[in-house]
Amino acid sequence: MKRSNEVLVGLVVIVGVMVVVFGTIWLKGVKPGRERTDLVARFDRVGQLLEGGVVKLRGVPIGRVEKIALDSTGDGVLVTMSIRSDVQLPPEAVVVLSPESLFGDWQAEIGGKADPDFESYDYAQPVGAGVLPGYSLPELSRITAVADQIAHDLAILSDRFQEAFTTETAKNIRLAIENIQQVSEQLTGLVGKQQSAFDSVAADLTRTSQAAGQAAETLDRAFTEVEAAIGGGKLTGIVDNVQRSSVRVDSLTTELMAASRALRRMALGADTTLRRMGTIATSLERGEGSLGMLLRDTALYYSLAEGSVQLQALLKDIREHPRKYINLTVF
Amino acid sequence: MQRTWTAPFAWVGRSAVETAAAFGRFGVFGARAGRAVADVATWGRMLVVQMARLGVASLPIALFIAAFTGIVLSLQASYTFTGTVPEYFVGTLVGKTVILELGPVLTGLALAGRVGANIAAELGTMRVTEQIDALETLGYDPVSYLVIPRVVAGVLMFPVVVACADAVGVAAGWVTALNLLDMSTPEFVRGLRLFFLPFDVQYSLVKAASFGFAVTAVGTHFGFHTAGGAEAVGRSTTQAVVVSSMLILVLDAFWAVALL
Repeated sequence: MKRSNEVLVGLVVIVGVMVVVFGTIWLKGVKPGRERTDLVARFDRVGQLLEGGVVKLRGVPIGRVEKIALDSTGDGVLVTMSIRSDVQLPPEAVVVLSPESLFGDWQAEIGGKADPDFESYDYAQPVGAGVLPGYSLPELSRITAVADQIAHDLAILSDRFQEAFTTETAKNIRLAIENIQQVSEQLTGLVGKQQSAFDSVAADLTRTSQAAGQAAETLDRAFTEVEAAIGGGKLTGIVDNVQRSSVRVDSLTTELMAASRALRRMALGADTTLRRMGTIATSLERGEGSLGMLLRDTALYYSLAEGSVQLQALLKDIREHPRKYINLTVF
Repeated sequence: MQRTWTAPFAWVGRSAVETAAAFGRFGVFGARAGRAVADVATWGRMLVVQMARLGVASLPIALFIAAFTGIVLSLQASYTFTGTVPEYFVGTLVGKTVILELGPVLTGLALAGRVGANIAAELGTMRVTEQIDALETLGYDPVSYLVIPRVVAGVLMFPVVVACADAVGVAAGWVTALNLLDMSTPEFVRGLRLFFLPFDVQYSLVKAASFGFAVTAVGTHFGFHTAGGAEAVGRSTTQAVVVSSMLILVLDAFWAVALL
């Protein structure tokens, strides 16, 4: 009985001790047999990091936070991390403390200072050799406080905007937008029309340009010919011919004026003659004179009268169409 | 009439005297026990027997309670965390709650009933049957022979029992999470390790040791000072269970204030 008691007690105690030892080691995430080394980093603050927190390099867990303590100056916090000794740290290694999730668990992440994810932080200056610079991201409460301030500012901005932006303002803006739309549409139409006109003008301009080109060519040829003419003495001859023609025209004009005056005198003379002939005819009708009496014959009378009428028609025709009866030739 | 209105005052006075006397007896008893600790030859021979009786024999009930505690915790955690809280926090809650609180306290309360009552009844019976007087007559120090082995066994074995209970409670919660909550082992373990600190285990064991001391000390005290017949034995047993249970809760609060 006593022996069995001792065995039982011994067995239970051993089991209990093993549960405590191996359970603690397992829950702590420590793998026995793997060499570890300590790493110390200095921070201004450590947020919600706790001893036992995960240490990661490029997202891979490589150790645990062993100790968190204020440094000798009291201005910083020294965090001792136990990491795998086979891990190669990046050059200029730094440590950033950040939330591992949204539920309060924080981690220490090691990276290179040149890494884009790590370069922008204001790291605490390490004191002593072998101490890495560290930075702790703001805690959720600090972020919440900042967000609260931003929300407050936004509320003020919103109130001011609400004061400035009344219903009337909204209507005006809507009308302005509609006007702009109409103006835009009109401008679009106008641009279309102007485009057509411009195309037409361009076509006309093209044609005009072509015509001007042809005219220029013609003019060029004409100038060439003129130059040739000037060079050949033809122009002098033409001018001389024109001068001579002008003289002849002057002479002809003078002659025509003289002929006209003579024709006028002849018409006057014919008129006088006709009046005299009328007088004579009257006397003849009256049977005065010998001729009158001779002409008392009716047949002769009618013959003379008819001759008189024809003569008047002839004179009239001559007065109206002198060229019919007078043919002048200059050359 | 006069007795009626003075009765409350008499009751208060009597209670005060009895309380003071109880503390006095306990103080004297503690002093005797302190002196008896030096008598290792006497209590050392009885230690293993008491460790077997108090510790090994208490394992089944402690593990049974722990297993069902782990199961219930896992299910209730999943029920509570439905929504925004990730599932792996089931592991966190089960681990933290079992190790820090429910493992030690429920085991302590269970053993207060089993061990405390057993000790009080046994010693009370020995007292009323004058066996303790016989020991004194034979030259044995009854405190060294009867009290110290039990108290030391309690202090030593309670942490062992609580450690096993913690492990079984967490394991039961783990199995429950795997089979009833569709969680994976990596998920549960991630939550379990998330906020784990070795101090949690130390805290649990320190509490367990203090509970062991309280249960055994109270049980031996009430049993040792039993006066009367069988009825007194029953009363001592009841008092031992009640006081040790209360003391467990007080100590639980004390350690939370002192260590956390």
